[in-house]
Amino acid sequence: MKDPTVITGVGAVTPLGNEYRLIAENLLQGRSGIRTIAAFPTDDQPSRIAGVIEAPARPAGIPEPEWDECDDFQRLVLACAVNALRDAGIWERRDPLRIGIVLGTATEMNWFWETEQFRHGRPGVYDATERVPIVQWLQSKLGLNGPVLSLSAACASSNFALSMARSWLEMGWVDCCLAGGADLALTPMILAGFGNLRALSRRNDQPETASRPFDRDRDGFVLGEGGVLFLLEGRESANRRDGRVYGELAGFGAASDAHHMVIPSPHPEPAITAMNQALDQAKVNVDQVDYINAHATSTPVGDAAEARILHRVFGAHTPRIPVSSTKSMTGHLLTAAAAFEALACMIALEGQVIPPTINLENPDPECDLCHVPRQALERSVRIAVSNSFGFGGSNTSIVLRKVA
Amino acid sequence: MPASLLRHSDDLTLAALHGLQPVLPDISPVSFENWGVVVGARQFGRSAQAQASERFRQEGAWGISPHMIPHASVHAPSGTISLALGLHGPNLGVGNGPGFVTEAFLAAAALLHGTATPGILVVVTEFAPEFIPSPTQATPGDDDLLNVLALALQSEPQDNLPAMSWHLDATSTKDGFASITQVEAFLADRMDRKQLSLGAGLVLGRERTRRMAA
Repeated sequence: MKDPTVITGVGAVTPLGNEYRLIAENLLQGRSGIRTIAAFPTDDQPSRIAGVIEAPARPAGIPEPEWDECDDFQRLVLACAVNALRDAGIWERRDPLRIGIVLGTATEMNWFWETEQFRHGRPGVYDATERVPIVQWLQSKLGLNGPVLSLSAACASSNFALSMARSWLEMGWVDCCLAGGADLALTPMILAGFGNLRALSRRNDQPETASRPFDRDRDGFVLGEGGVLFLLEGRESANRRDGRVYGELAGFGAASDAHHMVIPSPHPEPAITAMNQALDQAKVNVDQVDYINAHATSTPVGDAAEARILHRVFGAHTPRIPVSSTKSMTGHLLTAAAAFEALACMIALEGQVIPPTINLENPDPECDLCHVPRQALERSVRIAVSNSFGFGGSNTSIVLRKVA
Repeated sequence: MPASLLRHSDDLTLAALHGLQPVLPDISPVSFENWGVVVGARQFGRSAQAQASERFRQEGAWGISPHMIPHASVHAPSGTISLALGLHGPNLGVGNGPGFVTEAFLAAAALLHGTATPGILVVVTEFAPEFIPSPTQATPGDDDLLNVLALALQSEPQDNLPAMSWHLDATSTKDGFASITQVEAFLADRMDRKQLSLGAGLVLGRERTRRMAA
């Protein structure tokens, strides 16, 4: 029998805070992390709001001169990684362990190329010097010994990252693994790219109410930034050192639409397949699911399509399974979105309380689900499911289980 | 394949798709509808970024093409291949710097282990040498060359398919990264070595029993 993979450490830099307790409090209080963008001029941008992070504090164990040398992307990932290792209690004794890294990230190079332009007045794309990719940089910075991988399946990336870390653990390639996602997408060009795609909300004068998944008046998603990394290891390993266990990564499923690079398929079968694979892998029946963290980004087409998928998967049980979209509070963290939403599920598993979908004032009849509107819901939660879908037609789902 | 499908695709995406052409007949005896695809590309989106930078400088936010995000991001080649070939298994892009070859194998092995997909198409591609845009040349010219290597990987060989068996194993070493040409030479049996270190703790090794020549 396989040793279950469990999550024993968390490091996060998010629009709702940079520390687990603060994030949990803000999430369950239904607070919005969406603001008017102040970092650069946005006068000609279609969307001028975003889920914005506060700069992470230097983590203990990283000398100040080293921290000062890091760029913003390196600080984001370094803070998440160190805090996850510390939270798991293995920071001080990481040397003999084979610790892998799987990071979902899509915009690292775009961010680098573009910020070089702002800093030096010349786009970084013209520079022949190749940036050391973030996972290799992090491996070297922390002196880790396991394999490293950065990947992108767009907004489904972190679910892939978690699954791959679990595979590496099961294959015996690593003793434990950092996995999650990080993106700094709030740059003028990336914001413009999504804006011109007509994917973003234009409620620029109402930032905190702009992200409204499943609401009749939703008009697009709100871009966000941040990172979340988890420390994954086998249950036996966690038990041996009496480590805190946030939850078990019990199942994963993935399938592609093969329909369109951006638009969700009108045929729901691939997404249904992904969800069923995850539930089968976790050996969970649909009637055992206590909470669904929906992908729901607040786009007119995507939210309704996901509602239809949930009805197909859960059938007669759909009206009793609470569903919420935490993107209503964070905006869309892109490759880090699935990692944040896994974190939201773990908060639900720990506190036995389900985070709400804020701004859900008039539920769209096309999204007829058991919503958790505006206020958190106290409820027994043993099994949580989190969906994440992405450009390129990626559909993923994970199942997280409470560990007694 | 309709031209409209590839109209906005990056050169590396086109190379990845082209590189798969000889692989598909080999696996055509079985349906690969549920296969997955992993694409590793070096410095993906660089040319598009160079063009976009110039447009942004001249026109501001409205100068950025809506096709930039979907077609010039790391996941674009795998998404395009999935779409073009009708693959419903998982698709994802990996790497984007040195190490992209190794990362493609690391990802493929994990997908074969952790998902229900029967096989993974692995494609790695790069400009050789790397194309560096300039203010006067944002896009590659006719003389710029690309390398591409495409493989079909399965956990277990199937009797009706030609196959060679290798094993992938992670070690605790962190030696140098293999290039596309190194891996190609190893797979084509032109190297005497029993195993090839792919760097980042990954080793590609020959099995003793070879089923058939690929």
